[in-house]
Amino acid sequence: MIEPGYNRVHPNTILLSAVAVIRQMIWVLLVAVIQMVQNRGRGDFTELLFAGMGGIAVVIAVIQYFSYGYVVRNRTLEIRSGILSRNLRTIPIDRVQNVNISRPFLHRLLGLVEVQVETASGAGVEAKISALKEEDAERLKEELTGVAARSEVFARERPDVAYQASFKELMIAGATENRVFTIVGGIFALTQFGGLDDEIIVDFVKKAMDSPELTHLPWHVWALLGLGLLMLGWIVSIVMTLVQYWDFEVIREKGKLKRSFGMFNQIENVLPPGRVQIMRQSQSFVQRWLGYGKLYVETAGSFELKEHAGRSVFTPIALRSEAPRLTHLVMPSLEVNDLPWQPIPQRAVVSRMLFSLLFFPALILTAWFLRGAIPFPNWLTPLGLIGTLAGLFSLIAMETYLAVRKARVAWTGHHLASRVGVFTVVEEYLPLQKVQSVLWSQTPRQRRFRLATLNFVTAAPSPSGKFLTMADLDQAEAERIMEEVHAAVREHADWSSQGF
Amino acid sequence: MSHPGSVVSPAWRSLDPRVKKLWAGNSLLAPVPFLIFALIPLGVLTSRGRIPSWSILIAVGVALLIIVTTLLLINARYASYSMRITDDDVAVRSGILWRSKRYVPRHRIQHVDIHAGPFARSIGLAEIHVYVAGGTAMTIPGLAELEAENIRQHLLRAIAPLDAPPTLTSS
Repeated sequence: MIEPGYNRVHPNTILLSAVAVIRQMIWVLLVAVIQMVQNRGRGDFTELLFAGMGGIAVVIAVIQYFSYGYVVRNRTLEIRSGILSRNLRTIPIDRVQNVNISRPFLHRLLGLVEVQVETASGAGVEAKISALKEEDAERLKEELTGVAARSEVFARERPDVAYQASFKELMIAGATENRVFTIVGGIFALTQFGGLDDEIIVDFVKKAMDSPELTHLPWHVWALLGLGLLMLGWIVSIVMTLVQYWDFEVIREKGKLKRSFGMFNQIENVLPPGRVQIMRQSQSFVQRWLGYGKLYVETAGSFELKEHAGRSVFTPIALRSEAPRLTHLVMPSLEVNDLPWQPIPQRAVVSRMLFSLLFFPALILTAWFLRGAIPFPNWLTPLGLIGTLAGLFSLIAMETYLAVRKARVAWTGHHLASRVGVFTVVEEYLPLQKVQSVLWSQTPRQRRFRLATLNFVTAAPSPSGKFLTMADLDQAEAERIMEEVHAAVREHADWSSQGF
Repeated sequence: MSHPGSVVSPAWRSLDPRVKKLWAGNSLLAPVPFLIFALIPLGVLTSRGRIPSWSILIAVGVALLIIVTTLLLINARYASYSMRITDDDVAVRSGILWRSKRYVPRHRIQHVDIHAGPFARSIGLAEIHVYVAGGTAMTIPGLAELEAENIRQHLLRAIAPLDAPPTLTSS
């Protein structure tokens, strides 16, 4: 039993955690059910075993419920849990990076929410308080962040909506991303882990591959099939984007930003702008053409629960012309349109192509000398092979050339920025204040071309957000930027006392 | 005992020469990952008679080659390593072919560890791990134990609060 003074979570937590346990065991249960059907009438203990396991799950859930308590006092969040081994976790409010209120679908059916508290330790969510009533959750969030509840009725200032994704914008966001690979991956996963049907699928594919009707299908049928898959991916990505980012809103309140979104699983997340490590804008080819872009922010909180490949989405999509205003919300002194972009040296093209320059001619020559010596299959002539290799080489050359031509870096004295990409262009902005350490590196290839790479390391835990990279700078220029950044960071010893 | 301030100097310094001995010892371990990946399939294949048993000798030869190469590179590796500790930052340069320089501003340091394995301890060496928010920032190998301790004290002095330290009566 918990001590008096602690708040208890909602009793329905028992139900929710029992369901969670059952959901974790779903595959085991499936196998058991199938076995049970197969062994019917022969009497076995599987049923009993599973009844027992279910019972234990419920008992554990009940014990957890009665031993779990939380309280906010002396500017510290305290959470007690456990009966046999007891835990007391204390989190100073000043160390809280993010507070998320999430409403998974099942919680919503019961009218409950889950509160997640993240600190900078990077090891996931520090405290997860599952199943609270909405009012309790909002009160807790206000105590932790000072940001008032959305549902509070009285004495509330009008919320300052900084960004709101319209239906049209969400449609564009979904339509400009294709999830074919998600579908292909999903089908693959189904065949791998989807229980007992995989043999049927494998048999089907084998039979289909062997049957002459299928292997001799005309090419336009295959093309149509491919097109169909692309269309499917397109539709799936629109639907997924709509479901995930439905009602996306960024609200400014008391100097903090609050994001809320989601159709079934709703998430509400408070983001102190000063805690953002790196801000990133990505524009795919089509998005750039339409004048839209997507903004991500990277904090020192956990990255497991972030929405998109470990990043927090700041705007699912927004007009490029809105970017200065939106980045201002997070980094007030950053002027994205006035960054002193400078190109990287052209010789980086040769440096990056060095391997391909040696590899492809060697391969082509080998193919030419071997043209009489080895039997080529009839669908591939030596000339066809050489042509393919040459085509591939020119594609790589073009891509490398454009990548170097389009790459930019910027250093303003307060911010570092980089821009990379040919088809999808990604810009990253890093405030000097968030630089933890600097790494200068040079490969043998780069040394030959007097180039160097700079990495500015931040406290963000996600692999995608840890660094801002400036690749293939001129060696002397890299030294200069590093010295300047370093001197600037050195001057601000006071930053270390302000948290991350 | 020397004053902790003595570790500070604006010039790049090399590591303690005894680290070569440590690296020489460690080079015996260098081919271990290769051996694990090579010997298991080779062992399985030879025991089933798929390939002649002398092919295991090739793997052993490659392992010896790795050891010899590592030993030959020790001097170059030692020469490529240097460090600099000033009042404001710590820097380490390293790498023979793939070169890198790491800079950590002193006030960004979160904590400092000193590590010494059994072999390093027996020759009186230790290494320092410097952590910043978000993970390890750098490792300085090959320091005399006393020097490592002095560096640690010097680095941690910088992390002291910048405001006036709390008095005993204030809290």
